[in-house]
Amino acid sequence: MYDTEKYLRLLAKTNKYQILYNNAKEIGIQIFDNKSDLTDVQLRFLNCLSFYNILYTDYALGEIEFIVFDNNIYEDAYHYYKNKQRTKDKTAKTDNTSLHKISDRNISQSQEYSWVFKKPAKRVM
Amino acid sequence: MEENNTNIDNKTSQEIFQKVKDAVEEQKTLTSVESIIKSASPQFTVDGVEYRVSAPTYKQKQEAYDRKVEKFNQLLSDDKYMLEDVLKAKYKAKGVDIDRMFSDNQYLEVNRNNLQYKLGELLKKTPEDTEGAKSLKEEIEKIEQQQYLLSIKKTNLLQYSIENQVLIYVYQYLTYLVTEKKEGDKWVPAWSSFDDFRNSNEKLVNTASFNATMVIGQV
Repeated sequence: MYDTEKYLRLLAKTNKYQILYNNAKEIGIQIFDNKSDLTDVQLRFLNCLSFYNILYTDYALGEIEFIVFDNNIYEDAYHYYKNKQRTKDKTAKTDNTSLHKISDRNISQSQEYSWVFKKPAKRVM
Repeated sequence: MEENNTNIDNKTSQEIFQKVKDAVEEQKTLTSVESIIKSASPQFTVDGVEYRVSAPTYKQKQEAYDRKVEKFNQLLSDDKYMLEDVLKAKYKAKGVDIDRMFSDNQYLEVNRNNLQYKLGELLKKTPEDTEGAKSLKEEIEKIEQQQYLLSIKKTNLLQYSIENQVLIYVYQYLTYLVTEKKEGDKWVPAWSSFDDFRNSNEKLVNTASFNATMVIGQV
């Protein structure tokens, strides 16, 4: 029939649906006629809405230039790069946290067992 | 000279007409997709009759599953049809390696991802480098084209496998189950039997199948 993905993206990119999506998130306005039991195409559309919401937010924050919206390939590429960067950051954070955990454990362990190696009190002569 | 000008004018007006026609068509499709998105039971009209498709109920899914098993066993005992693995082995013996196509596609996917990362980084850090972005875009398009051709080739080669025939059958059966037509104020099943569905007009079957796929997604 036709390339549905192309039209889902076109609709998700519009002001109308971006406003609806933001309102749905903030005050619970309905995007679809049905509240539950979303159809496959509705789920795919929600994905597109979220995708463009991220891009528009980044544009509003000055993270990207409008050139990103030139075509689907630019949009996908920026989104892919951003996700990869986020995963990298997360991994780095997790590594840092685990290092802290290890060092915390070391500190607490050393405190826990410190009595074993407690220095003998100085004798008062 | 004048004749030349008239030719150019004709060409330009034809181009403009085509552009307007395309834009109208695009807008019609957009409206149609919007109406499919809005509702859990999208409606459409064929030859003046209103139809709708809804998500299958648990009972309908169960019925479709039973028919799927039945169909699979029926095709399995028919020597005309082959399982995907058997078909792949036959193709391989004739020099067509489908598994290799799969790994080629994975290799292309990795390349595409690398280029996407580079392009994304460029758009974020040096958006003024429009030429660089264009060149990366072209490389990505080339890979996407290769992936598309590979996918079409693979699908065509495996279209006669038992697995694929069963999949087509299940989609047809579900379309038959979930499509209703409006009679007065009531919605009634669009077809009285699966045979009735199969003998129905092509336009109706295609439109119903398309809408059903939008609602159901992957089986």
